Amino acid sequence: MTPDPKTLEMLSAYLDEALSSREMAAVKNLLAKDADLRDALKRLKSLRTGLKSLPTLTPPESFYDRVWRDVGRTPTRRPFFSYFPYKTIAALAVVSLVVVATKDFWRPAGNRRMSLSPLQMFQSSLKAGQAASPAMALEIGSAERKDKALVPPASRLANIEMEANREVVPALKPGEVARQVTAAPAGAISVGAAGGPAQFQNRAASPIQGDLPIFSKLRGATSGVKDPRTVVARSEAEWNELWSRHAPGRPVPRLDFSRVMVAAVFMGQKPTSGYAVEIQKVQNNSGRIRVLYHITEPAPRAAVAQTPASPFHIVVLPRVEGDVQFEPN
Amino acid sequence: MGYAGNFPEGPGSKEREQFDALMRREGSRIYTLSVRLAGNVADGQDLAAETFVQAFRAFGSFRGESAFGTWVYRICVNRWKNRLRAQKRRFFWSHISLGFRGEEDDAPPLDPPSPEPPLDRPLEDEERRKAVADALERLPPEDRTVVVLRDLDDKPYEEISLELRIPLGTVKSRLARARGKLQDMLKDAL
Repeated sequence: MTPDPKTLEMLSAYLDEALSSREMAAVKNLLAKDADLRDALKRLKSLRTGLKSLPTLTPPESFYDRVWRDVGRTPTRRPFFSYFPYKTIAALAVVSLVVVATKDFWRPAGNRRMSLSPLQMFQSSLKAGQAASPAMALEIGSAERKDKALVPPASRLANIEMEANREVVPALKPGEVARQVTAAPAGAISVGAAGGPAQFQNRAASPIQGDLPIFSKLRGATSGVKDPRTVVARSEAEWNELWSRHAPGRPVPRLDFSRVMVAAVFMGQKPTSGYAVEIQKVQNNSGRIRVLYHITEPAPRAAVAQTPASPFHIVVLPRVEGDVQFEPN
Repeated sequence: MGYAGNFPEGPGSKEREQFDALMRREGSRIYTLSVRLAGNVADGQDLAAETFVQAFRAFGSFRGESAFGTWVYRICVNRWKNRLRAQKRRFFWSHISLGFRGEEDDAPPLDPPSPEPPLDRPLEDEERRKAVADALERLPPEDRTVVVLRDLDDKPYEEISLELRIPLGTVKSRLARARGKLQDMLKDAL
């Protein structure tokens, strides 16, 4: 029976006297106690004897003739082109091809769509989301990470809450508010004193036509929502669910859903930075509400950070009843 | 003894005769080493012939700092190492080169050791030697190399390590592994 590799290595070195004096003594002790070990050493010695018994070979005379014949030959030189590393280049090309073909495979499972550009993937997902009800659209994948880095800072949360609830249009100048009020049906919006805040009053029907003002917005590159989604929240429950998925563990901004509603676009997880989404405009055309958003993605060779991102844009709008359609702009 | 200087290749020259005498003196040793390293006579002859041809071409630069036999021995081991490297490269490319095959790919593939014991009865001396030679041939080339250098040529571990440019520990473990394989192959012969 051949001993285990470690023992064999020890015995083999012992046989060749290639151990230190201490190791030699230790092996000698082991050999004195262990008959199997002695037997293994004996077999090793026998093997060496067998190897040493191999005869020395004498080359035939023709061998020397061949050497002189070969000496007379001009050594063949490799042709110049043989140094061209075509095999290496071919191998690199194959590896690159495999990497390109399978790069989608290495992305997180939520974003795996073969042969579609990120924009196409996102738009097709949104189309699927639009067919569903707002509640369905809130069906968000379970692969969310509760990473604190994804959570918006508290100051931004406070900002969205404050701006949405004070029911003003901070981004609009008084003149612009006046124009919108003019365009809106009478009674839909009451405007405060010149230069003062514009007060929105909820009506049962869709009161504002044309472009809806965006009260407040929260936009960023890291959301807890890892799948491409469009979401409309018109109730506290929907908003709470949305927020708990977008920023788990963070306090939910309080919104008065008798006056406002929320529209949100989540791009889903992207492998690098450089992606962004922006809701540019929300229009109300006789109860058909269109949310126009714009997607930005990095140029093919752009220098981007190799950190995953999940861009999002959440906007708070005056509450308007009716179907909501999200459209890329 | 020094051999510095330009070396004319014309037949009958003094240096040529000198080299021929040295080659014949070391011929058996280098020939045996080559055949044992290569594992068969045909490849061994090639290796030995290449060794002497290379030695002859470099003979002008041989300064006699070591014995001629040591010098040629080193050339032989180096050529063998180059062959092993080339074999490995061929083996690698033959698996992934997607049709980029050259003439050298026609060479036979590496022959892995057979798992079966070669013999099933006690053997006489001549037969035993043949069994040992066959078993040695079936060893993987790298294992065979350390066995040949150590057990046939009595090179110390340190020299094997330097010749093959592998760590001393690798010499030990590779030698033990090779001996283990040989024992398995020859368990009925020894």
